[in-house]
Amino acid sequence: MISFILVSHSKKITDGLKEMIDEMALNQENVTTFSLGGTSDGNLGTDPIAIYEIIQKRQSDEAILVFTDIGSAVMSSETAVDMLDEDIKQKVYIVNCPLIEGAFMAAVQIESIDSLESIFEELKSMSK
Amino acid sequence: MLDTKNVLNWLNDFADVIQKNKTYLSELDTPIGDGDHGNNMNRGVIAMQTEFAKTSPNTISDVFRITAMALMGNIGGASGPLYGSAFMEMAKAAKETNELPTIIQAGLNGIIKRGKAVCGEKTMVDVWAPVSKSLLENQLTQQVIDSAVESTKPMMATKGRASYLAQRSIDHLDPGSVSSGFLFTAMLRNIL
Repeated sequence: MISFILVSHSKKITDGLKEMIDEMALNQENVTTFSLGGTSDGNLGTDPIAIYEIIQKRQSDEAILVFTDIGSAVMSSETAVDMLDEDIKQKVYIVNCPLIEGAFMAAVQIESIDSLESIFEELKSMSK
Repeated sequence: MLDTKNVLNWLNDFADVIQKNKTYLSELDTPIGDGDHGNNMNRGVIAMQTEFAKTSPNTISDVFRITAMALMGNIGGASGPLYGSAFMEMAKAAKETNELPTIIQAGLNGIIKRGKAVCGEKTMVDVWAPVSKSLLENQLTQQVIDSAVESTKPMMATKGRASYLAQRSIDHLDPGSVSSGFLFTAMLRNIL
């Protein structure tokens, strides 16, 4: 199983993107998507602790991909990863690509963990 | 010398100053940011004080770790991971030493690692770096803190949200530097 964690200041953005991926990306049986937009009290913002907790919960997954948009979305994700134990850290990737296009494309293309490298290569060309 | 009691006094004093200046900090953030620094910091320090009351930490390291988690989990903006990383590194350092200069230097390194900013980019590094340096030289005064905060005014932002404004960021104080100034003023009052 592979987890996609979607991080934005806005929960509406990550909820919408999760809906798109879950309904439109046909190869996503082995992908679980998590919408981590906004703060825990429902405001605009990002929450490193919430990202950390989801990763901890999914630590037995083969890979955990974190997709971010702007500003503190990246910094909060990096902070969450820094707090992890080394063996979990190894399978977490903060992917440098536009949030919506990148996460959607990766969900469509991903077949197994073996396809990760080629997907990352392609995502690089869309880097933000 | 740091002990659990004066560190708690310092951070509770900081929380009071943030709450009193919540509107001022958000006003500073309005022309060059998204106008939420005061409210964000206020949410963070309230959560921090709630955790202090709930858990009664009894080591300096625990106080800093609780502060880090509360600020990270409740601020919402970039200040969350930045202050959070600072206090997390301070918590690590405080396991080895209770020397304030070493601990503040660890906090500065946490911020630099997280935000990848250097001096002169109109960020909180412009306050943390000179404060850390003065502390190591045993020369920290209110004057050092105030002039570090003031120094961000003529700078052009090249990091963070304000950097989108380029030239238009000039002539405004950096809100994160002002809140950092509050932190160090409270430190002077309670510890040095």
